Amino acid sequence: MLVEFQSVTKRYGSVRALDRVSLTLQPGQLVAVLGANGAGKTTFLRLLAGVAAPDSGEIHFDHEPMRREDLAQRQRFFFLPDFPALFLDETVLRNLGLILRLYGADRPGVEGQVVELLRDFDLLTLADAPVGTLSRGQIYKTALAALIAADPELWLLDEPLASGMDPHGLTAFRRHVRDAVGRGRTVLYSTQVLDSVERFSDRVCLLHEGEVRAFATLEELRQQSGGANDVLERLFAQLREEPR
Amino acid sequence: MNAGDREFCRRLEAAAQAAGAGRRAGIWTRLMRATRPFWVTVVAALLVTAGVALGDSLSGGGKRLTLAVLALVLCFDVHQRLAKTLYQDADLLALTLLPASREWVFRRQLRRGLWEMVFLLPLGVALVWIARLGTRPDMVALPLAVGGGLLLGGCFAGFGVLALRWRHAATVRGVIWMGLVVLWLGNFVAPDGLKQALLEFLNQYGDMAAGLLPTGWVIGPLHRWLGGESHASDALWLLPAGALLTLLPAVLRWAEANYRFRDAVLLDYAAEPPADCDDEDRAAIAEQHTRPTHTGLTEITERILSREFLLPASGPDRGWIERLVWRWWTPRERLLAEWDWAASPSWTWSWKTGAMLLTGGVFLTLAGRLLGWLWLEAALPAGGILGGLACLPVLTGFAGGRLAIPPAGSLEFSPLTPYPRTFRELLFLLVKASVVRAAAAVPLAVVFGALAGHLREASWLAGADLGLRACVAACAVTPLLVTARIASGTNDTQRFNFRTLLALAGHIVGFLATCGLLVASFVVPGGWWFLLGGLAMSWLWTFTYRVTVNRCWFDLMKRG
Repeated sequence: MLVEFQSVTKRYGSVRALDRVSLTLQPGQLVAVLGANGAGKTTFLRLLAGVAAPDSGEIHFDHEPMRREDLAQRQRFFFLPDFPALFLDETVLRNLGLILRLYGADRPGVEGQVVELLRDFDLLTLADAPVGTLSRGQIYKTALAALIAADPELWLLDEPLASGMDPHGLTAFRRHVRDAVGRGRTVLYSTQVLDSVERFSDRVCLLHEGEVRAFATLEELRQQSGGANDVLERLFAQLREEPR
Repeated sequence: MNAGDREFCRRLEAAAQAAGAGRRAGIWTRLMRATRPFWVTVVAALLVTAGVALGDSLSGGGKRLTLAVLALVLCFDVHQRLAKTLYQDADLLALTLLPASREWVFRRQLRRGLWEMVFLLPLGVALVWIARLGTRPDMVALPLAVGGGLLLGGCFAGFGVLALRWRHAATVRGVIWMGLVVLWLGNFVAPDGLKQALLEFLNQYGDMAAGLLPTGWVIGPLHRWLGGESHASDALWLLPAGALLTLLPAVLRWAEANYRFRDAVLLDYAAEPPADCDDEDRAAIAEQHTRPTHTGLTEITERILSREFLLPASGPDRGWIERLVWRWWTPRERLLAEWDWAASPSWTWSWKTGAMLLTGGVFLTLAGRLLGWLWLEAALPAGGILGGLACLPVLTGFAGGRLAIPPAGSLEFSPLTPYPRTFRELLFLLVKASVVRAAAAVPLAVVFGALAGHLREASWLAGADLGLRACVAACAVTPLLVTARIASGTNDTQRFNFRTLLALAGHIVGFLATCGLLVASFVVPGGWWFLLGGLAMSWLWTFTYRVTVNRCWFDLMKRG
């Protein structure tokens, strides 16, 4: 899915969360959205998911403007907030079933994939447990399993690396994301964990005070900074030193 | 609570502050949070009391009804604020990180919620002052206002807390607001003929209608006493109010026992109980970690592979109205209904209740005539109003469902997000249910209307026609209710820019125009044309709103 941001601005009161952001995301990319607290990362993802509305500018999917009433378009992306919206009284399995059916992803064979995903995320034994009785990491894994099984074209994940998942879950998450990108899915995730970004991204989108300061591969960023290995740390340090 | 417990609670509160739960918002934000219900009520007061209660248009009964409705709005605002503090407060997120028990969090939030009700006391004083001004202003008014105001404020706060136990509270609140708008429209905007008809209706039936409202049980006697029209029997009205308030401890116990927030997250963090944790907390944590949620792996795997979890629901197991609606819905709408209704709706039960209330109203009136007890005539309008509310799709269309997606962090998502579902789907889902419910109510409404017309010495036909119109009007209101439900889960009414202001103005104009036309359809000749106009206006506004949703004019989330 080709995603285009065309001069998108979003304000919350007097705060400009995103300021005339324009960029294009090609299909089959793993993009890490980086930035300090309040840089606009979550707003960026929420705008793409249609949860937030731009004050000006437009968002296009495959050259078509975003339309909330276009069900087919909405089934092409999945937004996973840092605190997933699931029914706490319902079981893991019931939540998965409802979400997959909402996405029209209850295709033949998905049941086998669900078993594998629950096993990967150590949730198989908890399949009948109400989501409300799980820990934060397990709740996130449940929503993640739903996303992976639904397999939309655009994956939007808010802070998955700080979601409370254990190392085993994080490893499984990375593996599934790499597989999805290999299948041509576009994956965007916000994070502040710089070490992970270096190993786990095709491109980096660096946001600062609502502006895109860099949108490039790590290699390109290194070349621009004279080949420094710690290019992300340097960029962050530069941004901190900028006068407000 | 012993000294150790008190110290533990003090440290928890300190930790909550440190974790951000008690973080200080800006002074303006804090002021608005604390006074929002006050301002809502002030607006309501401006709408109604300025126009009606202080004017010369209404006699005692009409004034008492107006004040009772106004007070009811206040009670529901109290309820809404308390429910928000208990279940959706942003603090809850931080509190999950602390080793606090569910009961402790409930009591903390309840204390905060109750503290915010202090504004009711001056408001109660203001209400009594208004009531007094409407009768005979003198120096006695002030101490009376203070005494009466404290009594009223306490009662209203109590009623607001009681509404926690009532699942239809949010919907009823919307209906009461509609009533306020109708009163305002009737006084300021309506043509003279309509205004006169409305005022006569209020003056004639004001006391009777106020007697149906818990707030009327307190305001009625007080207002009559202040106006020097009181009778010893007025004190009897205070008995049901008192009886209702005795339910408060039971409601609070129920709310505490059923209190849910993200305590599972807390227990995960607190896998190792803190050193100063008492035995009870240790036991709770241990129980949580050893809860037998594990089933055999083979059994689970087989069940998943059988695709049982992907099967659509088989439909309602009881209720002919539910079954009719289910048959009319498309498979996609049935899926959305599964999503929206945690438990099967109870429309048939509501229909039966409505039938009993309508029948009871007629029989009591007849019995009153036979026995010469004319006061039983009140059963006819009372049965009509209550029965109509029960069987028509104006109260229970949304209540009992779970249209709001559970709060995610400090955000509350609208029913349209974050999963793929559209406004149109939701609208048709609920409109279809409303149409079936209204159609099911037609025989009841027509028969009751005909009998009521006969008993009131009007024509059978006119009464039946009125009943039929009530059913159509209930259908006409549904799209507006859906729109209001979606709009209340978004930022468009909280964060203003040009687009949101335009949308809000559209809400107000569309809503008022529809309400005006629907009310007019009942009181002026040629009512069916007004009714059809109301129906058309309701759909026109809903269609316009859908366009703004589709084009991303505003957020589909709300900050908690």
